[in-house]
Amino acid sequence: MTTPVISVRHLTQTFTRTDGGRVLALDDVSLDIPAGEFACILGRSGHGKTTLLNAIAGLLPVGEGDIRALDRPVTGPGTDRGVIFQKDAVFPWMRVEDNVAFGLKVRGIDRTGRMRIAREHLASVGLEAVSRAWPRELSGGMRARVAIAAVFANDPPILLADEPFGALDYVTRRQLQAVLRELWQRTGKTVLFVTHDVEEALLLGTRVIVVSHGAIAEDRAVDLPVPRTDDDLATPQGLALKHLLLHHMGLE
Amino acid sequence: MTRRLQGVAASRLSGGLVVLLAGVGGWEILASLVTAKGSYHEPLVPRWGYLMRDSLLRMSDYWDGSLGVPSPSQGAPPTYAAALLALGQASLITLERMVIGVAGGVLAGVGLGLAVSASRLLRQLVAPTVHILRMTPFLAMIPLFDLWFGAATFGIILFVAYGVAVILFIGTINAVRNVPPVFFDRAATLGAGRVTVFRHIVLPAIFPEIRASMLLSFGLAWSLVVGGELLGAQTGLGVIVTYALQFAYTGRVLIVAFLFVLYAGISFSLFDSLSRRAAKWHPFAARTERV
Repeated sequence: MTTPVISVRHLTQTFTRTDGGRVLALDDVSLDIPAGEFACILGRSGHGKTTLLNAIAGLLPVGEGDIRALDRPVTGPGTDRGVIFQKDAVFPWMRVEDNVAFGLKVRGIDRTGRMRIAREHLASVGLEAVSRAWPRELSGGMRARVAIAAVFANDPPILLADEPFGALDYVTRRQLQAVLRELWQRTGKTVLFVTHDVEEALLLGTRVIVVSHGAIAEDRAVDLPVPRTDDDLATPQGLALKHLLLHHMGLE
Repeated sequence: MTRRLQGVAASRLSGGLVVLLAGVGGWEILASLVTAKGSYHEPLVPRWGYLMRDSLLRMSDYWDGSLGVPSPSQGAPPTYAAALLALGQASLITLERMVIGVAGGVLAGVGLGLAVSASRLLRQLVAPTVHILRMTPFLAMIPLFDLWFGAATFGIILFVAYGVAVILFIGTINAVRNVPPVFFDRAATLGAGRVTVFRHIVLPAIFPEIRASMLLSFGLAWSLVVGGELLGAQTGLGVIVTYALQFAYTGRVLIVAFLFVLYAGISFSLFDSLSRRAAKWHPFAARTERV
């Protein structure tokens, strides 16, 4: 048996609210993600999805338990785990191509090399025409593409995404889901994708993990073809899975 | 597009011209209605003709007689050459104090603000003192600066720098605090260390707010340099005002006031256009309206 790429063991995270109340965000969560999986973390808001992702990203101090990424303990953020954020995190003071090249610059890759890589990745998300633009000149959907290109340009083996398309309109969201799926298929990265959208989880995930009240309520492999169409979701198998997930979301 | 912009610029210019003409005309009407005179028989609301002839000409009283242009204090008749030289000389002295004071104050305020933002220990040591200084009215500090550093150029520069530094210090700390945490998170996940984050995240992210603090501090700096000069200096535009006040020469006070408005306006728009160029990424760089 091979070592999982992400391994979470008995993770418990608590917060103290400003009014003094204690919040149990994650309660003894254990999870293994093998290489190449597209794992969707599904759940209602406030049930611990983002806390789980941030803890794995190293953006939160680990409470109790431990987290390993590529068999190394997680103690902070690292270039082995790229993150696509929920909020718009593209740096507004850098041109589009400099945003994409920033991680490479930090790692000391010379300007010619990093600009070549940045343009390749901008082309792969369909933004080669605006590489010299300022982020403020782009739409929200284009900025989300920049964020995707920037993460893939840095080439981390693990990709963590926190409801990256939650704020976008339906059409843009569908387009970006396709972009992300293609890049994932091409690169074979291990993806942990947080979403509150049942359809999105079923469309993208090879596995769906439902987080409810800070614990894992369901953990299912999605045995549907990849790439996946809406017809695949309308099969008896797809519909059964959808009903199960809707049930966990408290809707059925 | 260019045509439209030209149209906008033209209409703004003509709008400004109308306001200016209305102001000039209104003043003239006011001056013809109010005929009260000060203690030395100078009109309290002088007409334009009086301002341009008598008041401007008498500025030659403040010329020191160098450059081969004789001064009335040496017995020569007042001339426009001596008057303009006197105003130019005093302006240069005041502007020098202003520029050096602002530059020193910005450097000190931003530097200290960044250091305090970076270090918790420093924050606990320095912040309370600076917050007390912020509460102290600036002009109340003039006598202290006079006593400690003298009422000449050095003391005034220090006074201006002090006022600007206090504003920029507070502004910098707030600016750093207002940087959205997601930028730090994203930089960290891309592998950026402390130095890179400071250089490529903190500095550009705080620039728009620092710029606003600087514009605010410029207004203050003009008050401080005049305040410093009114209370004790021997040279500069403020001194002309002090002498003119003693004899209730309203016209001369007004001429210096016009100069201050002119210089303040030029310095604002110069800084405005330079700082827009420096932050082309920010939405304010694309807007055309001016503060």
